[in-house]
Amino acid sequence: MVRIIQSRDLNPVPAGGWETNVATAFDDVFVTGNWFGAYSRDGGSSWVKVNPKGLQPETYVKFCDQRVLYIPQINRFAWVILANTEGGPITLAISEPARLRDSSGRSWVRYHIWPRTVRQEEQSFDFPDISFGDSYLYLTSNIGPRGMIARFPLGELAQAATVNMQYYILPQTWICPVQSTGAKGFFGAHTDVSKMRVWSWAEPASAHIMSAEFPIATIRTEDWVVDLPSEQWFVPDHSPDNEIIGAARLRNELWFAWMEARRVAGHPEARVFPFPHINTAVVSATSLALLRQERIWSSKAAYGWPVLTANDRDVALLCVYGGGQIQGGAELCVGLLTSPRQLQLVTSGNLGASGWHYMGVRPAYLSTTAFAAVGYNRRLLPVPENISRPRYVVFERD
Amino acid sequence: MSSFLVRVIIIVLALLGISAFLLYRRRQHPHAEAGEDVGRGPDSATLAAPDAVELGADIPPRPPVEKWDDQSKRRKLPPGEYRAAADEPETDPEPLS
Repeated sequence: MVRIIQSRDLNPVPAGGWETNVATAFDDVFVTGNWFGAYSRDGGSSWVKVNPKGLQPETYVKFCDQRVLYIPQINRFAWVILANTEGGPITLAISEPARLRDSSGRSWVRYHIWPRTVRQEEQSFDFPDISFGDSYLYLTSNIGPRGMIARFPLGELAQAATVNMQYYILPQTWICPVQSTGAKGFFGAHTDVSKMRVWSWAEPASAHIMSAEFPIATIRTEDWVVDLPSEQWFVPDHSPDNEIIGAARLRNELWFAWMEARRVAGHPEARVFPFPHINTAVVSATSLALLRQERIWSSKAAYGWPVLTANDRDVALLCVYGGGQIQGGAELCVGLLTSPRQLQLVTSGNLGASGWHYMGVRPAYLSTTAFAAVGYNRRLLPVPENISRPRYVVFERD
Repeated sequence: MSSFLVRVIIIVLALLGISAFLLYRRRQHPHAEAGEDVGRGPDSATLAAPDAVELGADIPPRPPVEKWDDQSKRRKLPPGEYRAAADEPETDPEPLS
């Protein structure tokens, strides 16, 4: 069993609550969504809204793709936000728990990373993501038709000083950083429907990035639609997404997770799964070789949007589950993938769809056993109550 | 000298030889890592010291969702050689208690 320590909607409810992310430092909790920030100083019991708009340069009016995490070794929160996707910067904001408590979550320092910072003046960033290792904060992003892997020394970020950023521009897009990554940064991406590539970047400043590509079971890319009783779709049919969106390291294992549809395109002999579902690849952190794949599927309902994190014992999962025989919408599901696998629903009564690229799960620092997650509810209530309600969940292995 | 002693000496010498070889390799390749080297070091950039910002508490209305899901920014995975998946058991989550 998964023990649910806490599960409640954010109140007041911030609008624009999809693409959620969360970071916790004991009682200080910071949550982001596509169009909001929110802070709690009492472990999630009460919340105040934070407007992310001020993080951006004044000339940019739109923002999205927010990620946040807490870095215990420097006692800092790190928050990235993408400004207007056409040539705008990724803003990296840093704060610490005491500063957030004193300011109701509103006081930060900010760095801007522009396309010109990485000599890509004609391109735009998209889909940034972050993780941290022993000595660096890692940032990945699409940059035009290529991908970026960058890192920032944690010591310089903690001092709010000039930061010496290192980066690679690579031919691959949709590179997902591995969480809880230790003394090396690790990253993964699919390169075609039957292959993935993993990168490792040791932490000495002079180290080169290394990579390995290997075959995986062919990804099911066809037949996504799951009808819900509300006549919404579990997965938006127009935006099927097979990219790796969850990755975490547990000791010598790198876990990568993504969504698959039902069928392999062009191969009618391939097994057809009853619903879209989650697949994983477990890779050796030492040899960068595939160890095994573990699929999370059901004959009753669909799974989607897997995000991962890890502590010293477990790889934790946040995803959605619904449709099919259960006659429901997209419910939030948390779990532990490490054997014995345990999955637990944490919402009910969601009739609407879910998704939009990612959700958020992190270790619930300073606990060594608990994890914090934020997804969102879609209850399909009458207007004006018909909004995405972010749900904050804390859980651990029972 | 007994044959047993000869065997022990041979084994000890072999272990010493293997250890010396491994030590030599490690000194030759102190940062040996798995995978292919991309063949170049990282590029670098300097970010100026950050400025402080005090954010507001009122979140403005968001623009329509349609503007945010630009399909041109998504990709369809390139085709590849078909590889069958192994049979694996299904899993359902525990219901909300």
